[in-house]
Order: sequence, then structure tokens, then C-alpha cells
Amino acid sequence: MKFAIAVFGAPYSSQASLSALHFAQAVTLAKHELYRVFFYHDGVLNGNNLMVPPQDELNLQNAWVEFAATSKSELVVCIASALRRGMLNAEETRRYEKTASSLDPAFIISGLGQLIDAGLQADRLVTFN
Amino acid sequence: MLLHTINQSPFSNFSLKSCEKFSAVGDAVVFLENGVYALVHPNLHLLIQADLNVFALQADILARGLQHSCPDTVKIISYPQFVELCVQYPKQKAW
Amino acid sequence: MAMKKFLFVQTQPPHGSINGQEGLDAVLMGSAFTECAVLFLDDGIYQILSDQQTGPLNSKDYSVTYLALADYGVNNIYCCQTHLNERSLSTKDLILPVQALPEASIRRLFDEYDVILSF
Repeated sequence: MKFAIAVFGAPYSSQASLSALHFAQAVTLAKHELYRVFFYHDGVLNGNNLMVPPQDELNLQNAWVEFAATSKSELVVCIASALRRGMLNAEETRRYEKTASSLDPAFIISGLGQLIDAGLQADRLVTFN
Repeated sequence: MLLHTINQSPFSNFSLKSCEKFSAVGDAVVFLENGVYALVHPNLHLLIQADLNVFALQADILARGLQHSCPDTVKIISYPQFVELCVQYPKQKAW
Repeated sequence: MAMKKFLFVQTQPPHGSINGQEGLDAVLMGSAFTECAVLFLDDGIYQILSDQQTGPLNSKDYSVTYLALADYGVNNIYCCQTHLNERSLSTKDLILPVQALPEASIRRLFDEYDVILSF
């Protein structure tokens, strides 16, 4: 079965990211297809490659990147939510003439249409808010 | 058939009440994150009486030390079982 | 296969968080792809209360954007009559026409749509 996951919560401030990560791992473990993980609202902050949590705590951004690499899953952040919260990839950093980029390259910046597309294409869209 | 997910504590949020009001016989409810505090809330039985299938995520129960307070009416599930429920129930309503 | 229909559920009041505004963005985007409807529950109904004056707060008055929904082909806009009553509101207090449903009809609404997105 084809799953898609939407993550609305910020890492650490909310448990949504951690729950979504566990769920995503279980989806791929069960050999279902994971069509896309879409990050919206504060969820886009999961792509922040400047986060430095204490060493004995899970680095959620690293965990998503590792998950995506091993499961070949697509991580997409909503561009409007991302820009509003300072999550910029190299291209957006240049466009807005900022000094640093914050979004890990494993996360794709795209439009909100990708959330709708996930709802249309996947058999199941599961939200973690 | 709807899969309701509740991630807020019923002691500080309306989710449990809304879910009970806007559910139908045969729907499933999954408690996760702070939603698992519903296991010790006096209104939990309303979901059981309404013939809903009630589940709660084990990892969230254990993390909060609620493992000794789980009523028999609630089925404790793992993440893979949560995924399996999503297969069985075509639509999610996240409260 | 028929195109899936989306129901967007707005549950948060405006300005206290950006959830409602970003939720509305999702409705507008969804309407470009497929049939969409909006359901206001609980404090979500306050998003479309008339006469919001956001100037002193310097917050965006996105309530007026709801007026564009009809132009986007989003004509099914619902709320819960009980939630209006609890807040001493009537549909006349709202910025756009909304169908107020009795509580018992809300669950049936969930059945009519294929994807439910809550904000």
C-alpha cells in the first residue's frame, strides 16, 4: 500500500516529528511504499541542519536524513512555511541574499501542491500534528 | 470507517470529547503522545460504550509510566500495528 | 477512478497561531487540484468572524481571503451549530455564508470526503 505522511509539529517543541519518524520507519519496515513525507507549519524546522541537540538526545534532523537515505524516501518541506521560518536551502539563500543556509540538502523545497498531490496519489495520508 | 487519532491530554483539551461526539460505531481511536493520558481519564468509557475500537501506542504509555494503569478495554499497540490499523481504516481524522 | 475529495477542518482561532492561515493556504492550493470543502469546528469558527481589525496588532487579516473561496470553486463551507451556540454566535456574525450543521451530521460529512486534513 502507498502511504504519505504529513508532519506539522516542530522538532522537540512537539512530539509530532518523533511520532512521524517512528511511523515512517514502521511503514517501510512493513514493505509498504512511502510516497512522500511532507513537512508543513512548524514541521519544516525538522530540516534545520543547524540544530545541535545535546549528544545524549536524538538529533531529529539527522534521523530524518538517515531514514530518507536508507528507505529512499522523499522529504519535502513547504516553501512558504520554510521561508517564513528561516529554513533556506543554498538557492533560496542566494535569492534572498542571506548569509547562511539552514535547510539540509536531503530535504526538497517545494510547493504546498505536493501535500495535495500526496493526498491524491497515496492510498493513505497520515498526519502528525 | 474512520481512524481517529488523539495526541492531546483529555485533562487539558477537547479532543476526546470531540472524537466521542463525531464518531460512529466501528470507528477506531488511537491514542498517541499526550493522548495516552485518556487511559486514566473518567470519560474513556464513553468511547467503549459507543462501540469504538480503542487503541493506544505502547511507546507513549511506557515513556509516561502509565503501563500499570491500562484498562483492559484498550488494546496496546506498537508502531507496526498502528500502520496496520491505517491499512484497515482508509481515512484518518487527527484531533 | 474519481478524483478524491478533500475536507479541510479548521479548529484554531486566528492570530494566536498561524495554523488557520496556513490551513487556508492549503484549501486554496487544494482547490486547484480537486473538489474541496471547509469545516470550522470549535474555536476555528472565529477565523471567519466579521469585522476583524488587525491593524493595531500588525497581523495579517486573512479572514478576507475566505471571501475568495467561491472564486476558487469552494462552495461547501460548514460549521457546527452547537459550536456556534456555545460561543453565542450565529451565521450572521460571519464574514461569509456557512452551512451550520447539527452535531449528528458532522460525522456523515467525514464519510463524504476521501481525505481529511485538520489544522
